[in-house]
Amino acid sequence: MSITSWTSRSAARPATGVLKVLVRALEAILFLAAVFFIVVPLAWLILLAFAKGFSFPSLIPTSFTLAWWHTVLSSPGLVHSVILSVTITPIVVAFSSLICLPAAYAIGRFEFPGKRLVLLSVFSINAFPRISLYIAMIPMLFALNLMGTIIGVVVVQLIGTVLFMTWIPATGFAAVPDSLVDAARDAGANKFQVFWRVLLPLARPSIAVAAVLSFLAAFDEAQGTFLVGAPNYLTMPIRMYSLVLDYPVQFAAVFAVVLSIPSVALLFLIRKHLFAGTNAAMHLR
Amino acid sequence: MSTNNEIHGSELVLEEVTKIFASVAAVDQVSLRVAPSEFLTLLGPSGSGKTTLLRMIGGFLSPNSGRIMIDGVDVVDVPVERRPTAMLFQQLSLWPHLTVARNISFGLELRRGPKAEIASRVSELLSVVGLSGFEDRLPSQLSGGQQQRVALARALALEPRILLLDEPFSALDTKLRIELRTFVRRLQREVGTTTILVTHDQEEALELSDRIVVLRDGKVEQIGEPTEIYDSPRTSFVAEFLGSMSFLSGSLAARGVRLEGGEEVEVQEAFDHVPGTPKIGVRPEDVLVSANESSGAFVIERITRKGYFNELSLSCGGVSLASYVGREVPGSIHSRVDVRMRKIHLFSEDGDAIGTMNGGGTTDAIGGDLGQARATEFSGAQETGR
Repeated sequence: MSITSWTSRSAARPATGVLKVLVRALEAILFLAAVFFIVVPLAWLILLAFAKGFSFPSLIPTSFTLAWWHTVLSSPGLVHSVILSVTITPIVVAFSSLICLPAAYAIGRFEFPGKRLVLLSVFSINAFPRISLYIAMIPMLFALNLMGTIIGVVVVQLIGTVLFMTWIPATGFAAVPDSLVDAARDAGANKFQVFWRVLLPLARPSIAVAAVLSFLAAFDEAQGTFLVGAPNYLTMPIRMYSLVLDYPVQFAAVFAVVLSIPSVALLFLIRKHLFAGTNAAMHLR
Repeated sequence: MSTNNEIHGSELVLEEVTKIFASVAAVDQVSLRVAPSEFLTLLGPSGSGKTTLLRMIGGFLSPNSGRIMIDGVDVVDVPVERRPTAMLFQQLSLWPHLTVARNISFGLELRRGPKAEIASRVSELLSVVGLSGFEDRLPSQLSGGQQQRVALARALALEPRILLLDEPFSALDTKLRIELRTFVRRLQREVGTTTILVTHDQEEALELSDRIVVLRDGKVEQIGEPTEIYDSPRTSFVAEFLGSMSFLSGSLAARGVRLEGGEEVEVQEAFDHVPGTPKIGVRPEDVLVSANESSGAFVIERITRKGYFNELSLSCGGVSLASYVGREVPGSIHSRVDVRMRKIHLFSEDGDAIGTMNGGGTTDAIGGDLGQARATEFSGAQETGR
């Protein structure tokens, strides 16, 4: 566990007994807190998804059933929304990388007039409540005839990914030492070959991290998608909202579990890159 | 290397090359000719323009004016990737995501040579740098010295007409540094590639170079063979930068040099007309010391152990001197000693060399016997080398 190894490394220097015990205790408390705030709610959620009878005085369900799963998985609207989410999100990530990665490369490797302004505007996307941004966008989308279209949904989801897709890879590109680029040019690589063979592979961990964060951001995006896409395009998180309001809590629990499967699977698949990426980001100049 | 039946080094000519950074000339009208297969060193302190000059030859910078000719062809407008030069960098510069073999074959792959040929070339180069069997390692699995040898193999793989070495040994520890530079020198002799080294390390320059260019403030201060520059530095700057030199406070009297301590040294008439007060320099190995506890003019102020020899700091009134002696120190701290100088260098106030004087009757431009007033007592001087 990374938390444990981090704290124990910092504890390695003060070797006095009392301090050691204190650090150990703190470590244990942190670990328990992590379990309490992350693992317990998740476990409870999963438990809930299988709960049949569940009444207040008992802390855990008294009897179990698969009925909720059956209902959820057999509802046609749901299957449709799963397919929709799983299709739209990769498209959003792909477009986001097409638009943002060249910008990240420019920001990371070159000095140009207005660079600070670009960075500031990228940040400003996340500086205000997202809903105000969406409301401002809607007249534009109406004018472009994009309301209620899949393109409109992609555009609105893409906005939440811009900061990740620009900022993180930019630091990845910037972290590549100049001497590696010089050496490649010296060996006969033109600018494109330098990018393709040296910069891109070395920035890959940071791009992977950005892609995952973008994926999760787009996958969970509900506000803008609802405003722009409803009623034609109801993605999983939008359904989640109506389920929470309209059905028994177990129904929502099942849905929440289903909703987390893609995210967890993704995180698991790229966990190696993820840690390499955070390490790379820490070696920034 | 066996496959290259004949690599003849190329000729490099610089004509009034100038590079200006923020209205300051980092390299100021430098002209020089590097002969085919020559090992030339650009030596100077930081800010002398040596790296700027090297990067212009490699194509990483373009000069504001002047010409850079390789075998008679001006390459100023040729971009880095098409220049027939290869550089070995100061920082470790292997690509961390590629194996040793792919690092070396990088340039060959870009040239789209046949795969089998590339593979055999890679293993040949690895054996040249003594790293056979390291093909599949990643750079992070190699020591600093090994990485720099792979970088050397990578540079040689490009079959450059000019090999550029940008302080490639400075990141290594002393033992490795000496090992690697001896290796580079031997290899350069075998391969015959014209090579230009940038360094601020005088020892490195003296050991490796056919000729040394001493740079100062972007200008060439002196060009010559190592011994020539060491023995006859043209300026006091060169004398101090290559080897060490003590400067004596003294003056040029009507017929001699008068040290501040009052001792006077006779000089021939040839120097009578030298304008101004000259600087008088002497190298530590030319300062011969003998014990004279009762009446020696100089006092040992400090003894610094240098391994197989000792450096003495001597003083006589306001005059201080450094001297190299063997392991046997003629006295201890605060002992009085006699001093005799084998050779002194005279510089004008501006630092330009006027000439040298050899003790004991042998002369360069002039003869003269230099030493302390009681030179008759002189006997046990020890000759010490470095």
